[in-house]
Amino acid sequence: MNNATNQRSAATRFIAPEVLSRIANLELLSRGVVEGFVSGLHKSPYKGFSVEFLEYRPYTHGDDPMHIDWKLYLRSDRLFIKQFEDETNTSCRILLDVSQSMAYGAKTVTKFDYARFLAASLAYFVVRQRDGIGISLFDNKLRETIPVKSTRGHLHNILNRLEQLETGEATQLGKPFHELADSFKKRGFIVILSDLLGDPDQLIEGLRHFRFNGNDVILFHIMDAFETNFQFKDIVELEDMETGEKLLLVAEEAKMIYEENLSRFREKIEKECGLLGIDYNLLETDKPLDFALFKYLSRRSARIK
Amino acid sequence: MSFLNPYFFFAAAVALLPILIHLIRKLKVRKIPFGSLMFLREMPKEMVRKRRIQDLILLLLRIAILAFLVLMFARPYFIESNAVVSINEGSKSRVILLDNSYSMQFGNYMSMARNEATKYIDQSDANDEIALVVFSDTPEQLSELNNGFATHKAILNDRVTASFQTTDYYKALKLGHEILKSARHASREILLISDFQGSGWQPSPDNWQLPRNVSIVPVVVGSPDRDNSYIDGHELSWQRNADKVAVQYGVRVKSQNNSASETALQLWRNDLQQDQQRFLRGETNQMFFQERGLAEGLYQGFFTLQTDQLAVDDRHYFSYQVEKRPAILCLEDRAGRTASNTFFLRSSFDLTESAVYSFTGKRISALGLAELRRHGMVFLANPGRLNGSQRQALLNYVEAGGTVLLSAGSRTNTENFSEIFAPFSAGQAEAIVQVREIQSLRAILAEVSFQHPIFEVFAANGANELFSPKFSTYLKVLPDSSATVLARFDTGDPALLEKSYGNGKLLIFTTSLNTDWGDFPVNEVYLPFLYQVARYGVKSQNVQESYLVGEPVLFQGNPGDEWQITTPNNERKTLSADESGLTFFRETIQPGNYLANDGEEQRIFSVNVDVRESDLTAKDPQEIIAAVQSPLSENEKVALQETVNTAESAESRQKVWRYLLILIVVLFLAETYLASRSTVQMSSKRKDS
Repeated sequence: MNNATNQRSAATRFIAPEVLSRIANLELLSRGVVEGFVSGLHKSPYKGFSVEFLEYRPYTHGDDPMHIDWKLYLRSDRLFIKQFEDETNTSCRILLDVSQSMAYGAKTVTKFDYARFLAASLAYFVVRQRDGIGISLFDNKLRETIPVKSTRGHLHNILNRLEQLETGEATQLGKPFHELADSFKKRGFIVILSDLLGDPDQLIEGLRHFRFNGNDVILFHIMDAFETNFQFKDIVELEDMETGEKLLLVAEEAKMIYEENLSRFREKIEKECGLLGIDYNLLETDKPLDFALFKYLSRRSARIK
Repeated sequence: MSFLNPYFFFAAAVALLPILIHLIRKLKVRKIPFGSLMFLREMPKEMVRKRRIQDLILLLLRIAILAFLVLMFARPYFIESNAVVSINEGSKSRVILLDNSYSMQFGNYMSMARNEATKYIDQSDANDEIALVVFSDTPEQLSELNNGFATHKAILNDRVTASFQTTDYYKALKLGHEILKSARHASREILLISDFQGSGWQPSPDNWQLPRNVSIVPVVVGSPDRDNSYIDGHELSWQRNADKVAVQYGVRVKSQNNSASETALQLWRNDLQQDQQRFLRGETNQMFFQERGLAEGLYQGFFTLQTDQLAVDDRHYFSYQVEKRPAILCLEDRAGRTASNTFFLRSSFDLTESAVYSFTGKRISALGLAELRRHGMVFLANPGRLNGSQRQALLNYVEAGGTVLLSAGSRTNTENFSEIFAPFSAGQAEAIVQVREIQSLRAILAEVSFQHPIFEVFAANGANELFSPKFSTYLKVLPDSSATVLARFDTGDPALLEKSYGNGKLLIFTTSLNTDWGDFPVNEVYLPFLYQVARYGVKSQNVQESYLVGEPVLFQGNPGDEWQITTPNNERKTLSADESGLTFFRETIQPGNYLANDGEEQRIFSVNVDVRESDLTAKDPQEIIAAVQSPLSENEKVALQETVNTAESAESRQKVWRYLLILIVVLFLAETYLASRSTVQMSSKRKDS
């Protein structure tokens, strides 16, 4: 059974998001992605980073008897608790942008779908790491927050919520970020999944707030390939999905302006993120989810060290 | 500018193609929902504007290219002044030449001609244009070249009637051509509706030819073989018996295609039938009437035949005036040998009451203007010296129209003689010549002007007799260059001179009219010579005045004279003489007898139709056409093809399409440059970015 799972995981690794989108069950999808990713790690130079055994410590009152190493007890007649790296009790908060603009996708997978897949995969991965996972949904305000927990049941709740999720209204990055930053009592990882289509200054302010509170922030800038490359042709009329504004333009000429503006925007965010020590990553929706998982994992291990 | 293929302009819609494409593409613009337009809101506006302007120029260029292409295929050309071209292919410009000469009065020919014209007007297309011309000896344009067919028909019915004039096809065709010069259509036609009566065709005096782009369509009215009898003309001769005159009328009657049937010719004078003669019609009949005992007065009348289908030439009018018996005055010198001076002269003229001329002999002392004016001619034989008033009276008499024969004689003195005729500028008397002194024989007449009325009767018979009188002496006169020498002696010196002065004449006979200087009076030519001189000199003769329809009649009188003319229709016309006392009556449009009166003098004249028109022998219309449009050679046919289609020839000459093609190429290059420049700009900006 385990072998079969491994094989399936391997198969789903690097599976294109378009293919993943056909899997209706997010849990199944996320498990496939993560298992594939994890099994893949054995072959990677990063192996043993996270789920490896770390140390034993003497059992104290209050510890979960489940974690007692009974074999050692038999050998040494002492109760030891097996302590793994994930027992650093790191919490991960996923901030998922559910604004209207996230519903855009030139092909099969929308940014929103991609972000959900990624959120699900991350949640699964985090829980598998025994870390706590929480998720917050926002558009122009904070829509919903699922608190941080690390149980399987919690994961199940999160995945269910993600499955039922729909896009909301326009993006506003500043307000929900400040609200969240204030609500996070415990420092941890903050993974932002957003297309960032909002005021960059507000975004930076929000990020700064997170960082000020001592959080590690990973910013996944999710974009559609058409958004990064502006691959339209001829005359097109684009309709802003958030405002409904329409703009008739010659694609070839607008491309220049668009790319220039986007580049400037990204440079600004990237630069500010660099200054704030935030990991900024551009994710195009046609990229496999592994990339994001890897980014998260490497960032987490760096934090632990 | 006009176009050879104007229908190509339907393809002008192609020029709208770029706009259409633009609109269709605009309609098909894909509406794409997009995450956010935040990166597009900052599109620089000037770029959009520039692009719009550039696009507008490109659009205009493309439209222009297509429009010029259409224009090129429509084959434009400029209308040349001498080659007006058709706007509507297939439409015609047509001049209807309708013969209204008097031969068209035959039967119902005129209404047939009108019907033909109406038929052609009715058959015309709406775009056709028509002009209406009636013609006889002069053409008259009745309507302008246009498509107002109703007007043309109204004019045709109201104003077209047969005239009394003859036909002249040539003038009519010329006018038709002139009218067609302003035609709008390339297809031009002259519709010649006529009976094609043959005498109306006179060869072109200026070798005029109708251009070949104008076609002549002959429409023959009636039959070529027509019967017609007509009075060809008349001659009058008078025989005076004292104050009365016997008149003989000679009338020529001609018949065409008539069988030898009997007909009658009547003489009507002063509204009464005077005589009638019945005769069998031949080709030409000469009929005579005679009337005796006509006293001094004015006489008008006509000859009339039994009316046939062409009535106008069956009546022929005449007018004549019987003058009182002409008077001749013979002046002789009291001091001379009176009897011998004028004996032969007096004896020559009958002194009885029944004589043709009333002859009066008076002494020179009686010479005065009043006396002179009572006579038609004055013989001044062998005069001595005349005083100044006598000379002046003589001069005034001649100037007023009198005739004086001045003859030399024994009393002739060179100076005195010269004094008499010097004021007339007739010449100069040089000396009295004794012929024997210069030649052995006496002089005879040697050089005679037989064309002159005095001598013309001798030309046929009696020329030899004219050279038999012998003259021993004569006065040598050196004639003025303005004087005419009518006869010379065999010595070369003038024998008879004529000098016109004012309205009269001075005749100078340089030798004697008696036997003083020769044997002339005893020769048989003496009498006829004197009578010829008298006939020539005496103005007051019975005269007849006859004119043809349309011929102007000259009236002479005093300046400011007003002539009242009564026409055959009893219409009264007034004529005013100009400062020279002359005026012309030109309204001789109707045959008949006319009466003129200026308050003092009465004058009568007749107007008859020109009987050339009465010869109804028809001419083949093709002969007329061939005369004004020579047959074409093969080369000319090809040239004609080009000329007829003036639009094509103009287009092929001008080749406007070539310039349009060059323009299109230039526009195309400009379009290519602009389009590529915009692409290059775009791609370079992309690279920069």
